[in-house]
Amino acid sequence: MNAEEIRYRLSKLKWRYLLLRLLEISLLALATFLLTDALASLWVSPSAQKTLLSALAALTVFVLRFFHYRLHKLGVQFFIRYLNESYPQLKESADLLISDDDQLTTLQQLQKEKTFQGFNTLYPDIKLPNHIKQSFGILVVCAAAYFVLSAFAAGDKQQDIKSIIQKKEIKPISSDTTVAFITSLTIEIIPPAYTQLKPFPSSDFNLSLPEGSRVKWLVEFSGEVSNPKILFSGRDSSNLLKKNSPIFSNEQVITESGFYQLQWRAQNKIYNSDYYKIETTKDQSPKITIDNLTQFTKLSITDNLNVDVKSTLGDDYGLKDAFITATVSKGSGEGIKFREEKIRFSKPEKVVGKSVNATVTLNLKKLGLDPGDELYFYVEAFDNKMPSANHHRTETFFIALQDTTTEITSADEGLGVDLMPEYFRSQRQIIIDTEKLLREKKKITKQIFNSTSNELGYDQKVLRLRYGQFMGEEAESGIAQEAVHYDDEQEADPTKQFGHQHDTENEHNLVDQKKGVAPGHVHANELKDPDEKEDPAKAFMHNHDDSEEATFFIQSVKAKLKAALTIMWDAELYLRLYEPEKSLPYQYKVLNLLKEISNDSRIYVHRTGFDPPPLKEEKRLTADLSEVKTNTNRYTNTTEENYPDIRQALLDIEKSLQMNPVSVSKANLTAFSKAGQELSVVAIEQPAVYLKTLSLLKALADQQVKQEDLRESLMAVRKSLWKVLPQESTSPAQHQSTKSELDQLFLQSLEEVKHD
Amino acid sequence: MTSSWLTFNPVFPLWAIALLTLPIFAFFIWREIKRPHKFLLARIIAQLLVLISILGLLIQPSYREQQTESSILLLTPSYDKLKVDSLLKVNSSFKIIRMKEAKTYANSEVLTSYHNLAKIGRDIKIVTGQGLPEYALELLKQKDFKFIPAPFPHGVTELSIPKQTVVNKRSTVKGIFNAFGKTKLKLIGPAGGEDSVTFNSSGQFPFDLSFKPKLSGLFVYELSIQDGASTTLEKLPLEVMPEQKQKILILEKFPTAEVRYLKNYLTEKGHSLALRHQISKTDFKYEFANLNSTRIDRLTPEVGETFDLIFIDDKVLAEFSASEKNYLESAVQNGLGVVILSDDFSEKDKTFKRLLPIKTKQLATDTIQLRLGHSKLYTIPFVPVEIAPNASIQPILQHKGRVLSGYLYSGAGKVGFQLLTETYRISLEGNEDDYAFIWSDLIERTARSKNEMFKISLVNDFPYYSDEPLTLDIISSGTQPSLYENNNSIPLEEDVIIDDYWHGKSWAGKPGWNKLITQDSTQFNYFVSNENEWRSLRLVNQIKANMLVQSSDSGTNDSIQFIHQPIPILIFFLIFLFASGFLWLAPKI
Repeated sequence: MNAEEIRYRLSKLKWRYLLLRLLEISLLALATFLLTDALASLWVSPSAQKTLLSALAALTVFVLRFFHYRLHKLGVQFFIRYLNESYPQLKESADLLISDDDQLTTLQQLQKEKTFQGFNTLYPDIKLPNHIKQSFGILVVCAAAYFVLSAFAAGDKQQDIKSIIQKKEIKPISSDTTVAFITSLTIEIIPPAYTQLKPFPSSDFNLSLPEGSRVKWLVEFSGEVSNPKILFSGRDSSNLLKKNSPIFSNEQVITESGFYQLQWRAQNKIYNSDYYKIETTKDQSPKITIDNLTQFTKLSITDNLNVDVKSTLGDDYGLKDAFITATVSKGSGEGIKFREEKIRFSKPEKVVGKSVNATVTLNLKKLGLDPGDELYFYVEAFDNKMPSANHHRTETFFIALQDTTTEITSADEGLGVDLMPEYFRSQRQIIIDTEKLLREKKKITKQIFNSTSNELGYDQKVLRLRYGQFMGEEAESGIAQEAVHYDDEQEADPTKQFGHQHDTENEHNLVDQKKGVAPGHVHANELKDPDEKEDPAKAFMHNHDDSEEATFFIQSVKAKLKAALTIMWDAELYLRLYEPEKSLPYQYKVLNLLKEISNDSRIYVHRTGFDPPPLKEEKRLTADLSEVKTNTNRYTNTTEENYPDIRQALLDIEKSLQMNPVSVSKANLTAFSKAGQELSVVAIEQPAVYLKTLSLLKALADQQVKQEDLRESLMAVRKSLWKVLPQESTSPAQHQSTKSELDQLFLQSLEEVKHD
Repeated sequence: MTSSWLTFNPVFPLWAIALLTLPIFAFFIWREIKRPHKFLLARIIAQLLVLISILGLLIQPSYREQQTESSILLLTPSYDKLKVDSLLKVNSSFKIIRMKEAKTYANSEVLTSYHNLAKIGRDIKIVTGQGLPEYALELLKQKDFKFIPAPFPHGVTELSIPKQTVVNKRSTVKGIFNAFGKTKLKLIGPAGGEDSVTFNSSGQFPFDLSFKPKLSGLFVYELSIQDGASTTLEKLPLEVMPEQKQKILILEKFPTAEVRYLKNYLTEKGHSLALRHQISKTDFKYEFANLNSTRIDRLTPEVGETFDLIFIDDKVLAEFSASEKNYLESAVQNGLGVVILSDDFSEKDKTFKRLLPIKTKQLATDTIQLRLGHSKLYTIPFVPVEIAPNASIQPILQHKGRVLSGYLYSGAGKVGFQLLTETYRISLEGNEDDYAFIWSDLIERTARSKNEMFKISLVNDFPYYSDEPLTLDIISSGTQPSLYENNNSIPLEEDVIIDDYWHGKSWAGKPGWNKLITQDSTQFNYFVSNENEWRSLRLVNQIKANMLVQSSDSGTNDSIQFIHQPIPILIFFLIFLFASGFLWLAPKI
């Protein structure tokens, strides 16, 4: 038995306990700190006060818990009691462990021996009381609360701005401390009323504001100044008005991006502030979509003639008004009449707000549409911008009421230029012939039937090619070549019927061209651009322009014509497959489309073609060149080298950078200020990019850059100025060479060798 | 004259000496015998000694000596210890001298100054490591050493900076980089990165970095070398020349779009331009851009001298009078550039053939698909001919080995041709750069070059360092050049064999741009780098220079070498003094 050992173990237990409790209390204190800090940020603003308050709360919790656990009076007795209470196997005899043997009876000594053994076996498993887990849980909860609350508190930080701003001092970059400088600058931005944005102070001297905002500057100087003003974009200036010395103010309505600078005079010297940028955000035009209609709607008289128009309208600040402009076109040919009408949305009646879903039902009958008539309409919306509102309109939508009573076979009377010649009858003719062929099917032999069907297919093809010309498809050769390939197609490739076969005459051309290349000759097309993979034919074409776009037609007509051409392919296919009955429905579809196209064509009545001036018959072919004379034109290229001063400044910077600059030389000062003038023009366009350089350049020109910063400033300016210079294409330069006697001799002997 | 162990270097021919001295010797000995004095034998011996010493002075004998200890092995930095060990195994008699910067080696002496090289120079048999700097090599009078080079250091080992960088023209810095692991090279201009290249493994890699300067002047770009965590910046000097404007005449039979766009391009670039095309049989249209109107209705010698380049239509050429053709040909001989625009190269008149002696073969296609530099793929029509390979054609634009544009020398001038037609389409598409790519090189290289009085060049390779010698070459056009640096004249000597070719030597100034000026204020700029820049390049240059000057025979196998050591003439003089002194004293005793 060793009393020392017991004491040692007990003191170890004590330290362990102390550590556990301290950790627990610290966690709690930290949790308290976070919670208090988060709560305080909702009411108390300065962070120093907040921290102090939180620290106090944490300390209080720490001290309370410390004394609660009586950690200051921690003795052996505490553990003896704890052991006795928690571990029955010690039989309440733990206090014997610390008693001296001399004072114990034999029985007690015996018991002590037993207890000691028990204690020894127990010792490694002794669990000391603590609430670390609970404390940790509380800390996690408080930390979460802290983050949530501080996120809310961030919204209120704007209130601090004024105080922050007032701490910023704007000094003219000068070592002279006696000079008056700006002690505070408060900027308030009042967005235009229509935006319904609240006035707000700007935390930054670089302003970002809605177009048309009113900006109030309140400037306080440290001393007496005269003639303070604000310079805008290096051009306009506006004097600051004295409120009560030394506070000045100014108000301006800002309509465009740029930059500004404060300038004041003190002690007969002019001081400038740094440059600050102004960025305006433009008011966007309203955005309108019609959700439930396609651009072309075709109705027959038996359909429901109430058409719902559902439109979504939106604007960044708010809409003021929106309506539908509808035009009813009646009649045909030269007898066409238009009537325009303004239709208001029925729900909501007045379109106001940032985003509106508006609907209206167009009653075609009420609008006076008869079969054959068309309704064109578009939605137009205005926003609340003052003084002139932005407006925007949708594309024109078409609703056509089909005419079922008459068939218009020709609609080209209205055309100034005869764009649609006899072709319209052809489709009709093909239909008549096909129907006739079907009627006679039983009377004629199969061979004649097939042959006639194939011929009709050819007619269909010719028709398609002719329409294709309208679309700018250059395939005239196809018509002529048909005769040649005709026979080939008679003994058709059996696989053709099963394959998905498009017309091959164009492909044939391509193959031909390839074959035409001489075997020894390497055609340039071998060098293929990997980017052009999607269109292998491109390499073979003289692609002047997009042929699709090079027609007289607008998109809608083109789309219809394209559709008609596609259907013609199918019509032809079945004719070629000797199945005219399957071809007929396609032919009818084509006919319908062609009729529509011819109806659409009247929209272009007023787009007549070029009217050449009349030729003077008496002058034609006389070979009279008397008015053609020798003439001389002289001109000089007046475009001067752009940015001469920036170029000069760049060279100066390069030179001084190479010589480890200590100061800016006088010659460079003028170069820098001149370059600054040129740069300011560029900076108006792109203040975000060049404003910093402009400030630096100004500081350099005013000799206000510290010596140790000089190199870096020069590098920054050089980088920016170099970017201002435009990329230009190469110009042939003249080479230089010396002309020595030796060259002459060499050339002479070379010539002699040549002649020999 | 050599013998087995004694060699003579007689001042006069040996027979003359013998003829002169033998009778005199005989005479003097005879006189001595005749004299009635004592010590006859001693006097005769003294007399003989006098004569021998005189002979010694005249025929300067030298004796053969076996050279044993004077082979020196010079260790320079980065030498390979194993190689030195094995060299010593072969020949242990090597004396080892090392440079201060080289690692120590057992029993090695340190070379304190390069000037000591003059003394020990001829004993140096082997140099190993990075070698001696070029200026130290010059101190060696006899360079019969073998050089065992160290491996090339890591970094830029070869660099070629474009000599003529012209503003707005893409130029390329080329070189070879010895990389150890992943390395990124980046060319940094005034506005930041211009071009970069990354090497992913170790080894020697060629690289080229391109840039397009926007401004003319003296610039210092930077080459950043980034390997792993470390980044080094090397200063890359670039002299960007301004664009020199040219005077160009265009003669065409009828107006074409091609010429119209070419005219617009050249005018916009500020070149002086005169244009003539025919509008009817007797009438012409003249246009002058950036130029006062001159007479260009006929080709005269003045016209040939005024312009640097003439674009000429083959039809106009065919209609030229005989005298005009002569003028044109002689103008070309004197340096004029001519570009012939033709859509047919067969069946031409004699002048055409003389100016453009090329053979062509007709082709089936008339379009070509090509990429101009890094541009997109263009399909451009061209004259459907293939030009037969000809060594005298200088190609400018080539496609798959086929020349599309190029020029030929004709006297001092050049005659160019362009097979591409309708190149204006490229300009119309808004790709001015690609359009310029087609034409600027052709015009630049065909046109008359500007005559300058002196052409200065440096023989040493970049980089240059302060206080190191620079060797200069000047080609002059007849006048004697005088060259100044900071108002100090640099002495020049003309080449012994070649006329108007001058050599000079100077010492590089302080770090940064330095200039040399000739009497006609022709300026030559060169950049002096800081001591710690371009180390690898400098070492590689040094290794290469050492490899060039090393002797072809190996220094290791001749273990025994003989040299002829002259007998000091002082000995003969002393003998002469002693013997003649005795002859003077003898009668008096």
